[in-house]
Amino acid sequence: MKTREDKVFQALGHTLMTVLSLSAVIPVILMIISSLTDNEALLQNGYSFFPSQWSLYAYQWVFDSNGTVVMRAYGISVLLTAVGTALSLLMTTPLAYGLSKPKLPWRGALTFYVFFTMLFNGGLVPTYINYTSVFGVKDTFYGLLVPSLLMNAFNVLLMKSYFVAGVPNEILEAANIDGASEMRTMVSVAIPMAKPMIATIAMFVGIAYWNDWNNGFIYLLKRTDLFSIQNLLNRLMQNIQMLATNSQQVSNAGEGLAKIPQATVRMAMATLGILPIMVVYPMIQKNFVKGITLGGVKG
Amino acid sequence: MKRKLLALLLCAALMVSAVNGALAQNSGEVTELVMMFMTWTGAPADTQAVQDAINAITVEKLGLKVDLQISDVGAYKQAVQLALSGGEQVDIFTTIMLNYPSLVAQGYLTDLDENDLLATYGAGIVTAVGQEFIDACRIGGVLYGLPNNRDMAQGRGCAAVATEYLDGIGYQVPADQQDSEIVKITLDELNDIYARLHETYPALEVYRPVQLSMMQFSNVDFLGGSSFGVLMDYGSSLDVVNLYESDFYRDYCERMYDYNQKGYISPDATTDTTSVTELVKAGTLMSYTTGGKPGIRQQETNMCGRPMTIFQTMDDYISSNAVAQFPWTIPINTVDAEKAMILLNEFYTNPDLANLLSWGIQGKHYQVLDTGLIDFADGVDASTSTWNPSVGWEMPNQYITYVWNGNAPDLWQQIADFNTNAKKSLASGFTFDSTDTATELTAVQNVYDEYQKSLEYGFVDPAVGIAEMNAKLMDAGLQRIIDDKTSQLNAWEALNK
Amino acid sequence: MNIKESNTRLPTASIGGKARQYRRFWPVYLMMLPGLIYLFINNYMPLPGAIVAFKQYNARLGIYSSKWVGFKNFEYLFRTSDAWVITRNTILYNVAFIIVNTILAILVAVVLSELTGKRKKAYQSVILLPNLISTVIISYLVFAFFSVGSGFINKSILPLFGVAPVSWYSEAKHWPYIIIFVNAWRSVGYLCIIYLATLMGFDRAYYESALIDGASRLKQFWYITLPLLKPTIVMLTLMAIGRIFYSDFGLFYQVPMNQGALYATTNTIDTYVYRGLLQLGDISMSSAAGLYQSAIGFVLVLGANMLVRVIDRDSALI
Repeated sequence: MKTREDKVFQALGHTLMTVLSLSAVIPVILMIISSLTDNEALLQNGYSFFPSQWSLYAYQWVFDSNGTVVMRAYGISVLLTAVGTALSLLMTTPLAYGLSKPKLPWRGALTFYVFFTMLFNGGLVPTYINYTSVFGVKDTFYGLLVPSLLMNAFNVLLMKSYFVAGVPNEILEAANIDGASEMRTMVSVAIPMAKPMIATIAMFVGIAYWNDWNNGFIYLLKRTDLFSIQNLLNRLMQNIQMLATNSQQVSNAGEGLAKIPQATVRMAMATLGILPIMVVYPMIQKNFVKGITLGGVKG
Repeated sequence: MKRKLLALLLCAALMVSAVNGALAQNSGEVTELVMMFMTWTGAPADTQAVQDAINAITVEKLGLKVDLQISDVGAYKQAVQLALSGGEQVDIFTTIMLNYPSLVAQGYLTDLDENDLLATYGAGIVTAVGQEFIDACRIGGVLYGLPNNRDMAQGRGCAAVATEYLDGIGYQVPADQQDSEIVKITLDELNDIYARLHETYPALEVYRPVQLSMMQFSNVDFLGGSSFGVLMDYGSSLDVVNLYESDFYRDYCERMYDYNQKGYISPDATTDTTSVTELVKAGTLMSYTTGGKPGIRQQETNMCGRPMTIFQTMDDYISSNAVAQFPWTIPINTVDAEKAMILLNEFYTNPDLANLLSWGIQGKHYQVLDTGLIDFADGVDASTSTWNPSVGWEMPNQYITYVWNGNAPDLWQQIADFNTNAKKSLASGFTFDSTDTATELTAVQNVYDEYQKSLEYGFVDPAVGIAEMNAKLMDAGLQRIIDDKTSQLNAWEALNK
Repeated sequence: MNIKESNTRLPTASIGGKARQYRRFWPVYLMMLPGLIYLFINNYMPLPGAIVAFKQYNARLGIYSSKWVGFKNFEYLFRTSDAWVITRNTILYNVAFIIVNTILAILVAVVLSELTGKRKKAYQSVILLPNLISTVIISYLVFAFFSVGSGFINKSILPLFGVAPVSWYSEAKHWPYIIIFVNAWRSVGYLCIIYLATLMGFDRAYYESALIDGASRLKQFWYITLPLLKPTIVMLTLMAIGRIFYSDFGLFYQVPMNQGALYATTNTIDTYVYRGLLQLGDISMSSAAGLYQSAIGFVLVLGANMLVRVIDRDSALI
């Protein structure tokens, strides 16, 4: 039952998406090519899609000087992302579900309690003091896992509004009248219906954990063996920025800059940072995001 | 399925905590002190080994252990600030990358004269660096930090030029300076060299300014470490003036503007963050500004990977804030100020400890050559060394350490003489308390950042740009800062004369 | 605070009814507890520390005993000729981001949900890619395109049209477009996934009956999709309004390469504070900036939420 309108739409839609996909992918390709460019060629000619000289030096450098460090950082990143995402979902989903129940006493106050945290916090120093002196997360894996990333109000409210709109209260009430406990109703009725949003939030949290460097920057001082792959990359960037902006303090700043790996190495590190996701993502999409796609689309 | 997942998570959590538990250290009667400093790229791989070697000495001799907490340059400031405000144990640290006067103003540091702390436990420090330099670290008459032994002076107006290009234009070092490390020439002669370099190598970038260049190429004293309110002419008078209205600044910007008009400077100079030495190494750049000091030619040659010639057009100078720029301090977080001072004293006076900090473990990281100089241990080079922080200048006392191969054997003596013979600012030791002008400082800093690169890299006509910047600086409250600096300087003068 | 509850509360709820409700809902509270505790630890426990913004911090005395100085630490945010510029830039960019990103994200989500074919999945993964790249790397990539001496735009694209090279990094007027583009490039994929998930949850029956009625796609979009998406749009916009005084530091500092000549269009509250405090390192002043940004956002979002409640009670955030 394809109509003419359908065909035009499909053609236009594919064109639009192709253009957008290209604009998303071209800079990434540039990044990968830069990491494979000879460093001197890069300095002489600037970034280019067609480098005058290719080189594997950057990757060689990374693996020669930091090989074990990089592999361990990958391990940390994977563990962190997996544990973080799972814990986050275990906390976010029930909280959002509870907030979505219209009859829940104190629902409004609790929603406000959650919402408030989206805007206000104690600032860096009090937060740091709280986590290190009360909870002792400094130089531990928990320092990467717990602060600020474990759950955020944005995701809770997003999921709450999905429960409100996508899971009709009548169905839940019906289950309840049938004698199902609240717990059972959530697990066997509400959650399956909210799959698309749960999958989405899982992906957001996963990306947030994978991309995060701030926790390592703040909470890891001695245990640099706990650095994630993003911490390794970001530490180079922070050092460059600090030397470039704050160099009045250090007359030896040039010496410092000279010790930091070259531009192609930075691109190689960045590529290594997103590579696993590019490899894993289609798999995740196949199994996990199937939830989204199967949710409602006509066959 | 869900239960399995939960079990898995718990398992992971337990594993993590087990690892952490195993690493928790328990200390006996020996007091453990925490020492913080920074290196360019973070804690070297052999930090634990060096720490153990240090402790082998200090436990025996002093009953003290040290815990080295090393960050990289980008994280150091934050790491120290958080540790200090978080009430964590820190016993000694260097104030590099931090702002020493502002740490004092915020009450982080211990008064080192209190209970005769320095006199009783740190007598060796006074001998090692000299009373004059120590007094230069006083703030409001109170001593909160101890300077280290390093190049305090700086050869102003220095330019490094790759020697091969000089050969290419047929440049001859003046006959009477054939043997000197730094070639003294005039600014006109330097301009002439640049003109000929550009003529012979039109495709290469002649000169690349960086943020520090203006300061390194000036006779200006950045009073209190900021360019807002300065002393001109090597601090030979205590007149606080606006640098940006000075003839020096106009001449400097005009010279850069001229360079840029002539095509000496890359159009990407303001945006490119590649270090100048790397550009020279890559063969795209011929010259840049540096700060002169003994050993500079070797240093620049090493970094650029090709022989460099160092020219100097101005004098050697110790600015008013050079000595107190990043003293070693004992914060109020210390578990025992006396022991911290004892340990610090040991680092200033014990060559074994000083060598461990700067160069690592003999035989493992370095070896002593027949000449008495040192070089990498067998089978080790710069890229494979597991302790090669290159921050000897940050350490308490590098004068009592070995000299690295390739330098003059009497390098440390040369540096001491360099400090002694350099011109000194009249305001040497003055520090500026910015508490009352913090609002204005944030505003003028933003204005200066807005114009700095376009003016000092020669991308804007100074005839227009300087006036515009000055108008905005004045709007932002520069005069208040200058007035405040003047009155603080007068008070300081009265106290010190 | 009068919270959106009245429309759902049973009109005859008695005290006995309340007790029954607690009995019924206690497992729900129990399930919510871990999340609530986490927010307490992460946000509420350190919150009292924010009073350092009103103090002259002294380490000897600690945050709570340091001297009160009232609003002195806030002064630097206002007593400057740049105050107007940084506030204007921050707000205008955020407004532009909200409008541009929302429209693009909905467009992409709707198109993606209706497309058929194998490539659909590829689109979905690819548009998320930019979100995975750190801002510093993005700044290098932007530089690769806009560099004055060797950038693609100056070297390859402008010559095609016979346009003279532009010195991108010294002309402020181009940067609103560049920054809005870069931000959209980075965030639309992310936002679009939210809308996509929402679209997937819709009951297809609406569309099927519309198809039977012979409604065009545009009509379906206008009369079915958009109203169904409305609560999500409103919620995301309200959340964005809450952060309207914040700006992504990397986007405004690193992407324009911290170029002074571009401050007229790139200096925001966050970059101003960063530059100003880099040397001073004053925790009271930086905490004051954060409090100011949050407080204004809070007032604005409550105001906007009130407005939404008047117009359409069900879409309100709280």
